[in-house]
Amino acid sequence: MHDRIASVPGMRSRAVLVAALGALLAGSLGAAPTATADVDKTGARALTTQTAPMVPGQSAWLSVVWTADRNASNWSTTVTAPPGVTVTYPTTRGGSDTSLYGSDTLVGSTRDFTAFKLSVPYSQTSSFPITLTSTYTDTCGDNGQCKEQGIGNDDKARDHSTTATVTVPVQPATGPAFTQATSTLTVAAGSNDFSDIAFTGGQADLADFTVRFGALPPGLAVAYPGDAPASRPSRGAALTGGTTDHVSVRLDATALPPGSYTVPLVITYTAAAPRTVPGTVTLVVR
Amino acid sequence: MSSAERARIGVAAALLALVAGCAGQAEAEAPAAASSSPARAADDTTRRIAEVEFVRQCTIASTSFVDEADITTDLDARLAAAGFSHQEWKDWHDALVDSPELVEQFAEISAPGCPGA
Repeated sequence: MHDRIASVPGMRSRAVLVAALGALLAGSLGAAPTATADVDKTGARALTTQTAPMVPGQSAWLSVVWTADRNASNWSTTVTAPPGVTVTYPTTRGGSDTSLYGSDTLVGSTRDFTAFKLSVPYSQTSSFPITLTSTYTDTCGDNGQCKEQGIGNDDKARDHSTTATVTVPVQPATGPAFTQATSTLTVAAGSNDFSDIAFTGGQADLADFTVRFGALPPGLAVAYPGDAPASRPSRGAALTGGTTDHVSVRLDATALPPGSYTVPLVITYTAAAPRTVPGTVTLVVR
Repeated sequence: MSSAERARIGVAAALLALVAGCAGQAEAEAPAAASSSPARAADDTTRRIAEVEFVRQCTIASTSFVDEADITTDLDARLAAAGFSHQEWKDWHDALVDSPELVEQFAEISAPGCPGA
């Protein structure tokens, strides 16, 4: 407001402005207030019709690209997904919506994208639609000049919204549910310390991922963090698809002679259903 | 006079006072500049950054990321391959909003559409 007034040179011009505003307001007293719907002239629209594919049980960050004919600021997008599909937003905005990657302004004639995380349940085996609702503010005047460019407009800020329905393809998972990244543990004779066994998730998330040792060679004792009956990934109960995490196990080798031992593992997790699979790790005592 | 008319008169009086007050304050201040710095001009550097960004925008929707931070890792890898840093990209992106030249340059680069589209 002050910048605009400061551009008026001299008292005479100010007096004219005040008089004109007074006349304008006086005129409005005699007329009934009318509601005029502002047409969205930003042309904001999604360019994406289909996201990256997902597999049942997967959680991943996806993106939808937007463009506009002129600036749209204060950009906010929320995503509506079918029941069972969880939407997570960036924590940087408080977790209740997402905006654009570069900033919260979609500059006219450019592109930017919104990112959000979807968690697809194992029961979701077919492609599904999501609806993105974006709200934004048009600060460009009817003359096409925008506030951000410091060249003035009609000083109106118009709030608008647009929706886009985008398909999320769902494909069957390929490859193993997980791979064991650590095949050998080496400990010193007489030691009693924690060791880590790493696992890498496949495409989908594995809930309730646990690892425990099976039959132990005589002289070896094991324990798990918190004296639990098994060990869980360090970052939580799940082994997230596409990530590597480790479980810790205390190996008490104080009574175990030096040598190499093949020790069985019992690995449990829940994918579409609970599963128990065997594994092994080679324990080398030096 | 109805209550609605009284309310409108009140608003009118308040607006007139506000305008008069602003004018008085503006007179005591130095003239305000419309923009604090000139819009960034387009050049070969901004063109190459815009090309990296356009290619990214063409592929981002068909890519999924395990972690949110992987999105920036992907961008930074593209920038590094072209000899740019994340800060250079950010400076370019921040300048877009008030630089018609940069917008025009990006529009020109993206006009042919995404490769394979």
